[in-house]
Amino acid sequence: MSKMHFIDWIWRARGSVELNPPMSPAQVFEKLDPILDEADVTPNADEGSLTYKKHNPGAQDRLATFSSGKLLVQEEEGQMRLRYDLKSPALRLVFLAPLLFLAIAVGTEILSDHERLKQEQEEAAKGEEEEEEDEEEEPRNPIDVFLGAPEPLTLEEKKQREEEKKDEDKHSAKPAYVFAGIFATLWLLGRFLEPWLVRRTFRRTLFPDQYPEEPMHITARRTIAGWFKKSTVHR
Amino acid sequence: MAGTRVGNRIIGADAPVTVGWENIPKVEGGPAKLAFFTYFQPVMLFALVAFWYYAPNSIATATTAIIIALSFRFFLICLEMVMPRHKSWQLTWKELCTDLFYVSLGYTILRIVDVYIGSEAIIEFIQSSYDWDNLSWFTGMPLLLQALLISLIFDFGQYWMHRGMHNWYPLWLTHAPHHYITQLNINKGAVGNPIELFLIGLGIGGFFDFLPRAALLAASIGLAIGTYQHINVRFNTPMWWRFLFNTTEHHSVHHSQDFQASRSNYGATWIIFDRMFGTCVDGEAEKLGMEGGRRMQIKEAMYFPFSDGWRATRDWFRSKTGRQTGVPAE
Repeated sequence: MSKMHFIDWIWRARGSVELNPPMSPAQVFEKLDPILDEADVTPNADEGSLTYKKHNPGAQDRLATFSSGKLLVQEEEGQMRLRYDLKSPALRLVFLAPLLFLAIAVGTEILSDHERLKQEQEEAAKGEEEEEEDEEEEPRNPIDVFLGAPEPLTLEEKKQREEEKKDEDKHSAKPAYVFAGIFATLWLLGRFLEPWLVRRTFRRTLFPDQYPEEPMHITARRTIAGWFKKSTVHR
Repeated sequence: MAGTRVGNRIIGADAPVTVGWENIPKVEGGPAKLAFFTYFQPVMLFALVAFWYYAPNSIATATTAIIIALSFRFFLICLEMVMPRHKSWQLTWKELCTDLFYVSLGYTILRIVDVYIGSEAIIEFIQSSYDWDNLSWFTGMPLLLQALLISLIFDFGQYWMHRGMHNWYPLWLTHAPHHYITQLNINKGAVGNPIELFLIGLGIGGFFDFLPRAALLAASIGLAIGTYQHINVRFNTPMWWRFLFNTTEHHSVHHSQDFQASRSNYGATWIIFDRMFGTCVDGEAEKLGMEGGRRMQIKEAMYFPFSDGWRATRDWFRSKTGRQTGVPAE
């Protein structure tokens, strides 16, 4: 068992596809050949297995997310199965991305505190400074008056906005926190979606007649209908 | 590949490019679908302009602009998933994560850098060293005219910066990673080396302190037109729009694997500067990228300007000193 077994579920996908009708390892790997192109492939005929590694898969490569892994054809309880154990550097990086953005957020806050302190010191050193006199905004052009555009900001509104802006920090850590959350959500999405998609890819490649290509929304509709059917049967 | 002559250039000799509008596919389907994909772009443009023109001062703020921009982008991502223009550009989970990583750099690290040495620093410097009363002739003009001029001035700066990137090697080093994208998706505009994203932000339009409402109007024009540059959705874009504005079709030609095609359509919002300066190629391409469509990984995009710059400098130095530059053995 791998030393990383307790955490490698973060970036690994393990599962199996039933081979019905049964196929030999050679037949399975021959059928999977189109999705393993441009990969370093190492077959092990004795074990009925194959390992692959794609160094820089294209954007539309069907194994783009799981760029390396091991495929094994074996008989389990009288049923031939394709077992797979796939690794995804992309899932691993997306899992780590929130940590990066949290670090950026902390760094931004430190920088912001430093800037605020510097500004306060500068203001204290300068003492009372004469404020620049604000001017009223230009009056609206007659065409804008005719078309009904709102009046420009009054001097008071302008000052209020400037005051609000003054109170704001030079740097905000909010975007970094938001992106930490976005990447955590993306990892969660990918952790469930990608293993489901790769299993579908194996099934479609091995049995194109049983599992034809169809738009994603049709598959989703069919899957949901299947769940509903199952729950009805159980009742 | 024979290619098609456009002016003095042969377009499509290296990779397929459809030149002209005649052979561009159209959206097909029922009347509702046709109406949506024909009128969505102009309706959104006019609706956004009307909103920013009439919105009360309490609503016409930068926060509202950010909310609208993010919602618009989210809607277009959903549209990409449901109605992709090309299956070969389908947005995948991995591509979405990659694109958002570049977007996140723009909103975090790059924003901090901008405060010290980027556009914000330049704006502050110019604002404090120039008497802005001199611009009252401009701020007294009708709002829509101001917005139009801001948009045009900004795009004029972008056009020359972008054209410079394709014609001057040191600038190209920063822009090259962006040209390794192999498909267009809504967030692909952010994909590239951070130095390029920093440079492209230095448009001359940002140097002026215009009326906020005019600036918001100009930004909404950019949003309602420029967003479609990198999108995997087909629209039946009206001909007047294609004549004036940069479209997905124009930008796909710019990202084509064909070398000559990639040296065209430099504008961001407007295509009229390309028409004026002879760099416009109307048409579309599906096969995008560099080096036959090799996908550049994030790590390489970060160091590419330095590694390729170092290699080119070394080769140049060796050629000047007469040293060999790694000729393979016979």
